[in-house]
Amino acid sequence: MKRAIIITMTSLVTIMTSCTVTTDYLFDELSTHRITQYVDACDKTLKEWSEGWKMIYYPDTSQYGAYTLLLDFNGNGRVKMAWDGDKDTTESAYGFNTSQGPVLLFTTYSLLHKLADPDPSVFGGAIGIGFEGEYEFIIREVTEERIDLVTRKKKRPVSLVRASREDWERLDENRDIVDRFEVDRESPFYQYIELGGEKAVFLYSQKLRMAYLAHSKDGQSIIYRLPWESTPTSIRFIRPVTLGGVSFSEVTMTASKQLRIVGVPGTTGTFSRTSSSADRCELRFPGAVQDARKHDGYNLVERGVALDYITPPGHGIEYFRFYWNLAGYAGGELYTRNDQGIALWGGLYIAYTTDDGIGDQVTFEKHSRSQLSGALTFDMNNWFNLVYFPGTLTTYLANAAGFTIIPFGDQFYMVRNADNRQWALYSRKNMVE
Amino acid sequence: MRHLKYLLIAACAACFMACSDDDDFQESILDITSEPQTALDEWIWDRFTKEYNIRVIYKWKTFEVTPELNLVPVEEARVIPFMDIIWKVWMQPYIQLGGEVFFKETAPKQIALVGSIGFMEAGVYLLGEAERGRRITILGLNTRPIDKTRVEQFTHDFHHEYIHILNQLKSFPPAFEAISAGDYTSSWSQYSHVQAMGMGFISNYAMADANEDFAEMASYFVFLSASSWENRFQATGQPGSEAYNKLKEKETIMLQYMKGMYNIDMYALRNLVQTAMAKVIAEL
Repeated sequence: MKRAIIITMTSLVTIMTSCTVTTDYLFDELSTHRITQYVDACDKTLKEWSEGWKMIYYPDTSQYGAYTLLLDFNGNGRVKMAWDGDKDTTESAYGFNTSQGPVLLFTTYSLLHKLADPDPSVFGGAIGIGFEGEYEFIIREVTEERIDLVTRKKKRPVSLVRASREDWERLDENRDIVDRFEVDRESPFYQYIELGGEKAVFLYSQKLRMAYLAHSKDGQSIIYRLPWESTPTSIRFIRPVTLGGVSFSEVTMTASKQLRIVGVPGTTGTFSRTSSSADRCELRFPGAVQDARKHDGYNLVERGVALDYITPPGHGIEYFRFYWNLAGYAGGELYTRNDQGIALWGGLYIAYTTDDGIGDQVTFEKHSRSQLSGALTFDMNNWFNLVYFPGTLTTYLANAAGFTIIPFGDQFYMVRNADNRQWALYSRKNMVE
Repeated sequence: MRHLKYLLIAACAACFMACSDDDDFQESILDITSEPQTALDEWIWDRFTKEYNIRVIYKWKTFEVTPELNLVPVEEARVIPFMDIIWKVWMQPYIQLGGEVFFKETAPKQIALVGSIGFMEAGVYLLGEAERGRRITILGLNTRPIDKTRVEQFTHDFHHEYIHILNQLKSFPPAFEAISAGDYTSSWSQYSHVQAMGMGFISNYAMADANEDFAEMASYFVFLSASSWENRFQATGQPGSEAYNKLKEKETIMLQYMKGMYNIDMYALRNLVQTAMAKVIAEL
């Protein structure tokens, strides 16, 4: 019996061991080989097109429009970039990572990284996140003409399409058209577009690549949030907008500041601006304050970005964040930097004071006990602190008129003080599409 | 015995059968292709890698640094100026005092460079990290041009992180932590340096925990001049005050640790670092 058991066991061992069968692979190559071949093919495609690639990059369409980048992958792991943001160009390194699928990485600092830089003193955006751009892209599809990507963190789609010599040569024209829409520093407070008998406030941010069109219709406020991208002749909204019965998605501005609607022949809009500080916004939004009060969280307005053109000369305020806590007070933060490029910070607390009784407008002023926070001195040992810079804030807060906050719905705000400085603030809540 | 023989025969048979394999082992399944080398890569190899086995990571690698933070890579043009400063104000003084063997044994095997600072919470930055006794990460290299203040900051930051590495290899005495036990706080950024000094800390960041306290003591000791160091002590109050005595106790333990554990005379190190810093600043 013992012998039978032993023979059985040894037979079993032998049989089980001999079950090491030849593997039938579903693919011809191992996955690691296939992914390496895939990124090699992508790299080859990128390098082979001699006129480079165009990337129209929307970091986050809920808050920003697009920057157009031209990229020249000339081999040896190097890429040259130019864009419609400014005249800077960069040459930097790129590579691939295969640990999370095929990923295209831009591995040293380039124009693309400006949109991801968490330091607002570099290019703007919000502190800690910048413009929320990314520089690691999962490769989705590669063809000769086009490479489809998604950003690694937020999975936002972006494509590289073949560029042409003309794209490079006309980049100055893109920048020029973007500049034309910009508001003159000296005068205007509001600007309007009038089309087909309807008039709308037109807000434009060159830096954020965002436009807002706001008007009243049938007693309702309508605000279009319009992320845009530049072309050599126009700015093109991400989606069409309708005003005065005319639907359009592309506008241009002549050198003499005449607005033209692209793609709607014979239609001319009027673009006007006001320069009087006494001129108040014509639009009323009944119930906006009441709506806003429903949101009693501390970060009702989570953050805002000061538009470049309102930056007081010499003061250098680059970033403004406003908190509105309807439980009793509002607060704000100003970020700037000194002449050595060091980030400076100041906090302020502003009392909620009056409501104009209609519910569409509310005024804040500096609280009598307002305090400026942050370290009081700056020296080399204060690296770990963002530092209060007395000169900037003292000047800013010396304005006895305080601030005026005008809710557009409960989602968009304009801020002005008697010096006619203006900020556009926006919440993370969805705007009217 | 006979049973054993059966088993051995079966085992041998199994082994032979298991060895029948058609796999091709000639080609690695890993991506072993090397990246194109630039003049910068060669400079790093010659200065840091070949002799000291230090890898300088300046190209962005996913997950190489804290993934929770939004960061950007360093500008290539800033790598050599920064590493050259580090070579002068950190490596050379330690090599001169501790010798090549000491340095090769204790130096971090990786130095990672990041362009942006790490914004952690209101008013708090991440400027550097030391990990597992083997790696130092320095952040914020893109922030602004290198000037006197930046040289001093780099010197402080790098020495601070290197002290962490030394502490990770050999712990400092528990007596150090006992001096300010109860005063360490995660809200250290709410305190000014002057307030911190009044409580027996060399800086407000030293209040974070005993490890940071020790690293701040040692790094401030070498990057501040002797007179600045003494002035800082005076800011804590008169000699004999509680804060002054706490700082003195910490200073004594720190000096003894560096001498006893690593045979580093911190006074001599300070002189070398100060001389190197002055020279670097003069050459800006």
